[in-house]
Amino acid sequence: MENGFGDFSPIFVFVAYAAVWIVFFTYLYYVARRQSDIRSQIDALKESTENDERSNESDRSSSGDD
Amino acid sequence: MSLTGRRFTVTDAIGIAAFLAMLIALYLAIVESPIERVQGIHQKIFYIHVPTALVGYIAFGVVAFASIMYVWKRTERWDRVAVASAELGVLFTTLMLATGSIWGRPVWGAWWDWSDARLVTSLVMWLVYVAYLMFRSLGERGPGTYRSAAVIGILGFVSVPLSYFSIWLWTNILHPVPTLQSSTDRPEGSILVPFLFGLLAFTLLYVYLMSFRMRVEESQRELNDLRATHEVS
Repeated sequence: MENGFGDFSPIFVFVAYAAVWIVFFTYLYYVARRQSDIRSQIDALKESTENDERSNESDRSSSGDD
Repeated sequence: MSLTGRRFTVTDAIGIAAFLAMLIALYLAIVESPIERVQGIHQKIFYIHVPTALVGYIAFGVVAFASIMYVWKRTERWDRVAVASAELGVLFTTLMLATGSIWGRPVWGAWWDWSDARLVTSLVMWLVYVAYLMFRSLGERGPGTYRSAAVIGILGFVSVPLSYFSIWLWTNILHPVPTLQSSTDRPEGSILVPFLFGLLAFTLLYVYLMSFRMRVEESQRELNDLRATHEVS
């Protein structure tokens, strides 16, 4: 069973273990990024809703003054 | 209870436990486990290949269970469990296929062999759940899509026992019946501990990633609800 690296070369074992760790860390990073993107969109939407409500209230109060 | 001011949660504790278990499993597999006589050092891939396969099966089992619960109860939370677990199942199965291929090259002299029933049925299982995820990402978010996805999640589970029992159902040239069960001349005790620890580490990792991934699903639903409210107002 000659494979070019020698029968008992650890290269395949190293690649297999490294692949598992790299894939899991990449996935964790990807999910964390996704979560932070969604959270910032939620915060932006909440802020914009609050601003809309505030401007509506000030419109109402200014029309009441008239 | 944290340096950053954020509360230390159960998910964080599971994450730390999973990371430590992964490190110990790595040590046991690489340093403590014996070198197998026939396959040499390459057999050490077994300690990640088999646990990722088993955790992949568990993840797809969770998809089927959550899909049944969704069809029965119509609670969106079950749909979130199903989609999160399907994504993780695909991740673990991808690693199982990749590490199997890397293991196969020095031991069988080939990356892949279409005549091996376990390889082919595992690939079919992987494709079923990739199709499930594609269906979910292409369909509109709503009860109709969730219901159809649940049906796919339930029917798709057929591919899991088909993959697991394929070594008994069909002739396999490359995959033998499980080593721990059939071997009589190997030091089972010494390969059993690193294997079981590896299984525990990957299971903890699955639980951690599930709770992390579920949080994303919940935030996504919150965002969708907010968008809908914002558009109406």
